[in-house]
Amino acid sequence: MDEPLLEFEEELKALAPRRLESRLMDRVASELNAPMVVNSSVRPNGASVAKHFVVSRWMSFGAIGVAAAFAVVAVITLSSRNEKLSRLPAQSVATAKVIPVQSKFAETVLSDNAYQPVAAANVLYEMKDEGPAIVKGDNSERRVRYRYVDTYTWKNPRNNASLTWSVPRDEIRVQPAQFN
Amino acid sequence: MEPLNEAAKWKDWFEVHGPSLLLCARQWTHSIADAEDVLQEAFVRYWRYQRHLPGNPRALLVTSIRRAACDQARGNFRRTAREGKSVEGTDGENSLFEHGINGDAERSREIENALERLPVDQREVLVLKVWNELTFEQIAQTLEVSANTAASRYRYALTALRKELKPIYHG
Repeated sequence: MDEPLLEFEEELKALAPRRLESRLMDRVASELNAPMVVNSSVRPNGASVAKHFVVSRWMSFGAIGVAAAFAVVAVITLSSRNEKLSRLPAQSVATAKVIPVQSKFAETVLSDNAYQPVAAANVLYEMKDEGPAIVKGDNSERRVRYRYVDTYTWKNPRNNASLTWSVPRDEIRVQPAQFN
Repeated sequence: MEPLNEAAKWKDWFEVHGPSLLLCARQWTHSIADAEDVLQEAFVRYWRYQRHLPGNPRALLVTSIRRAACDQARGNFRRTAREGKSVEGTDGENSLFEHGINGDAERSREIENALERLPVDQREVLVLKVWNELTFEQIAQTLEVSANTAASRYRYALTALRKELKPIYHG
C-alpha cells in the first residue's frame, strides 16, 4: 500500500467507535447473571445438535461392535473347550460360563459416557445326541446338538446403567462315535 | 488478545472491545438499537458457550454477530420502523463514532458520512480490518469470500474514502 493510503489508514484507526451505553452493559449483565434457559437466542444450532447426535450414535455402534467382537472370541474359546468332552450324556445338561471382559482397548477407545462391555455369559442348557451322521469316509460319526443362551452385558461407568442382551444359539457338532 | 477465561473480567473486556464490535454489528443492521440487540445476543452466546474455544475471541464474536444480524434481518423489523428517522442520519445519539478525532469533530462526521456512502461489501471489510483488527484471512472466513477478495475490497474502500474526503495530513 502506498504512503498516503497508509497515512489515511492511521487516521481512520485514530477514530474511536462510540462508547457502549450503560443500559446495554446492564442488559448483558442481567442476562449473564440470569439462570441459563434454553431459548431461541442461545440454543445451539441444528447442525451442531445433529452432529452431536451422529457422533453419539456412532460411538454407540462402536461400543456394540467392540462388545460383539469380544463376545465372539469368548464363544469360540468356550466352544473349543466343550469339544474336549469325551462322553456324551444322554440327558440334558445346563452349564454356564461367565467371562468378565477386561478389554484395555474398550476402556481407552470409548468415551466416559459410553457403555462398555463388562461380561459375556455362555449358558449351555441342553446337549442332545441326534444319532449317527453320514459323512464321507469310513469313520463312524455322531451328530450332537448343543443349545446355548449367550448373554452380553454392557455398563455405563458414569451412571452405572447396564444393558443386557441375551440371544439363543444352536450349535451342531459332528463328532467321532465311541462304542466302547 | 487475552482469552476471556474469568467471569469477572467480561465487563472490562466488553468495555474495551464492545464499541468496535457494536460498530461492526451496525454494518449489518438497520439501527443502533438493532445493533445493540445483536451484539448482546452474540456476546452472551459467546460467553456462555464459546469462550473456551480456541482462536481469536473477536473473530468468533464477529462471526456470531453476523449470524445474529442475519437472523434478525429475517424476522424482526419493529425497531427499524420505530427509528426510521435515525437510520438515515449520523448525527445525535446515533452516530457511529466518538466525535472528535484529534479534537476535530467536523472531520469525524465527514468520515462517518463518507463511510455511509461506501458500498456495503467494501464498508464491512473496512470496519472489520480497521476497527476490529481482524486479518484478511479472518475477514474472509467471516464474510465467506477469499482472502484476496477481502484485501482488494479493503484497498478499494480506502481509496474511495480518501478521494471523497478533504485531506488533512496528506496532500
